[in-house]
Amino acid sequence: MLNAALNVPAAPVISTPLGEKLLNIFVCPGDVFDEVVAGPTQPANWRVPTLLACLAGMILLQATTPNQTAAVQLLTGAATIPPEQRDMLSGAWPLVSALTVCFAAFAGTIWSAFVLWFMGRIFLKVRFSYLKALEIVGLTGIILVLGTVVTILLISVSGNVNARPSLSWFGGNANPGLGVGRLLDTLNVFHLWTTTVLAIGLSRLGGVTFKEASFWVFGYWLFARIALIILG
Amino acid sequence: MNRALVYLWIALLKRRTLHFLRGLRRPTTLIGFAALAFCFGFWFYHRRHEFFTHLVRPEILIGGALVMLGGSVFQGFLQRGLVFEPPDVEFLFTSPFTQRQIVLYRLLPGYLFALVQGTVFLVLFAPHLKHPVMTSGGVVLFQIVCFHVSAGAAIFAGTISEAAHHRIRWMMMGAFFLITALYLRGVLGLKLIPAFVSSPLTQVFFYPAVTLSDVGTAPFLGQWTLRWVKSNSWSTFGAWEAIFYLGAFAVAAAMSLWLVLRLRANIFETSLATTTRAAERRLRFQQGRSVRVVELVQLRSRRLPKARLFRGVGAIIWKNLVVARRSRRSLGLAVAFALIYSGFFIALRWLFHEHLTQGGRLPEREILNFDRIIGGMMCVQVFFLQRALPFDFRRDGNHLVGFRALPISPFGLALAELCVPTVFSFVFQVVGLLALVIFAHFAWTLALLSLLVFPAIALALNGVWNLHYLLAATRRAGGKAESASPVALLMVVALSFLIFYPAGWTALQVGRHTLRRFSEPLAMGVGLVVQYLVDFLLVLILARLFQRFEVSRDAP
Repeated sequence: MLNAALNVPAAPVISTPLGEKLLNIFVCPGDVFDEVVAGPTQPANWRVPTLLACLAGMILLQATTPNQTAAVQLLTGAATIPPEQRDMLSGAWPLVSALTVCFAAFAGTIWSAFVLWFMGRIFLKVRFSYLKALEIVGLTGIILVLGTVVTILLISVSGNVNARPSLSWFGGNANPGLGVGRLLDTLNVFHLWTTTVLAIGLSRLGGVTFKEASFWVFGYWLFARIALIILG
Repeated sequence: MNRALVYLWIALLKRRTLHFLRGLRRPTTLIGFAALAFCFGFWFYHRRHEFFTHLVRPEILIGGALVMLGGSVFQGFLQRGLVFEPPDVEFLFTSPFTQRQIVLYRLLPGYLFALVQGTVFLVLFAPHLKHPVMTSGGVVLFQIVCFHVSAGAAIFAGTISEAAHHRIRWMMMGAFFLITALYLRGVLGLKLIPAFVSSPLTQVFFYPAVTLSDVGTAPFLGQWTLRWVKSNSWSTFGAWEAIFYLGAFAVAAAMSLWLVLRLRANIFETSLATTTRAAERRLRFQQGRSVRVVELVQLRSRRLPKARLFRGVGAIIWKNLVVARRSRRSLGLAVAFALIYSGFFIALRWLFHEHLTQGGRLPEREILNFDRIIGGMMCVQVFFLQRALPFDFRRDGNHLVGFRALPISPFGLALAELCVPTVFSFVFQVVGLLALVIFAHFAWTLALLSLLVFPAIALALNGVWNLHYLLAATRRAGGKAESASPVALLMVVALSFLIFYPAGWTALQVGRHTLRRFSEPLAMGVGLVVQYLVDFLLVLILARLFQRFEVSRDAP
């Protein structure tokens, strides 16, 4: 009986299309990650959501800096610069910002995958492929896309370029550049959601309990970040 | 607290104290104890210094208290259970004592420690405290609290799972770091976290929990763009050219790496042979032997000449001459080097002479100084030549034991060993000097003086390198580990210069304290005598080392 049970082949992993995976992340991330862990490595799993994040980030940039003249004025401050340099700045600044956003999305994906892999390897003492961690982080990035869309909507509704789906929304006039404002910004609904999904991803990757994975993931993505804001 | 346990603790304490006092008879223990006593005495002597006032400032005391408390919690937590002496475990755990009594027994040494610590605190800090006894009492009690906390943490940590312990340990580490950073920032104004870490750009490290527009509109990025636009340096041709070259080299590096990695050849077999060869060469170099491995070829033996010079210990000189004759490569290298080196200075002196003959004018003193520099540089030649002329102990590693059986004195043997490289060096120098005198009109008085100086220098340098070789060989024969080669080589090189220090220093002193007219020749003469004395001592040391040499296992 036991032998018979052992001889039963494992249920084949059903491979869902990427679009379906990206949607399922919002509702059942565990299942998506189970599929990713069991299946072969698919670079599209992290490249496509990261590209979408880049696109969303660039649109958000446009929403946060609607007036180029004001942006240039903000950059130069009281200093006076020649008109040709001003023109150049108003042309270069959006380009630099957009490039930085794209770079940040890709570099951030690679870095966060490394952090997950490192946590698994060093703290949880489990081994898994770095590329799998990359896929997990990439797929989680789709929540960032949704968060960006919501942020754009909030900005357009409120007319406040500093509006975020976070505690700072209730903080009234808290300056986002200052410690308290940044602290409130950190407690963003989508950030917390993303962190939770990453913890699920790590638990699936490493085969550890969600509690253990979330200790490390929240420790890094939330508490370390808050500590940096307080101490910085 | 059980009285029996108190008695046991006092008895054990007494025994340990006696054991410690008996242990002071051992020099190592005594030195350690003396160092501690000296340290305490030093602090006690300076207890009224202003530095102690700073140490009892409230913020410093709070910092110390935090360290003590945090350290106690962490130490106890890491222990995962109370630590007892093995005999205690056998005796106490099987005896009819309650758990509370055993825990108290375990804490007794801590209480004593707290008392001693409080006393030391009182002795050192009393002059700077308003209520010294009360404060010291507080320190004692706080230390006791720390011991309690540590014991509690140890007992608690023993009850939790391994995973939870691991997790809490890291959590505590993080919390301690945060508390330390907050304390340093709040009290001492020290920022552990640099300002750039809190920049919006660092949000990238927390992707995907970020707002990308914050990264794209970071103030640093704006300032950078502004600077770029203002300087416009990137748009200049120079910058683009530099970027282009940098990119080209980067592509070349990547391409070459790609090509290397694509090579399908088996690297292991070839690398093994190369590694062995390189290791052998490195070992030979470290041991002061010739780097080149002597090929085993059939060589004809040479008859010993009938000249009296080559009888007795002179036979060693003959042997080394034969070795030199067979080492054509080394000799050729030495000749080539001497030609290039001397040729350069001959040409320089010749040019100098040419300029003088064409009307250039210089005081006699300046000309003499120039010649002195040239003479000095000719002396330096030996520093380089001695490595190319190792026809001494360095080539006799596997004959040393045999030499000890010869009816010759060790001093004579050491002198004979040094003879060939010294004579060769001297000959090379003299040839260069002659050429200088003949072709470049070098001052002949200086040339004559150099004839006396050159052998002293050559003997000293060859002596130092032979000393290094014999020391290394003695260590190897004694089965001791090799010393760190770079350090040893550095020391030998340093010694090669220091060996001339006594002569130089003496010459300088004599020159300063004698009459002006005779000061120079007298100083040079005395310096030369001292140098020959140093050489004599060096040969004596070599002879002594040779005497002590037991067994050589050197390969040829």
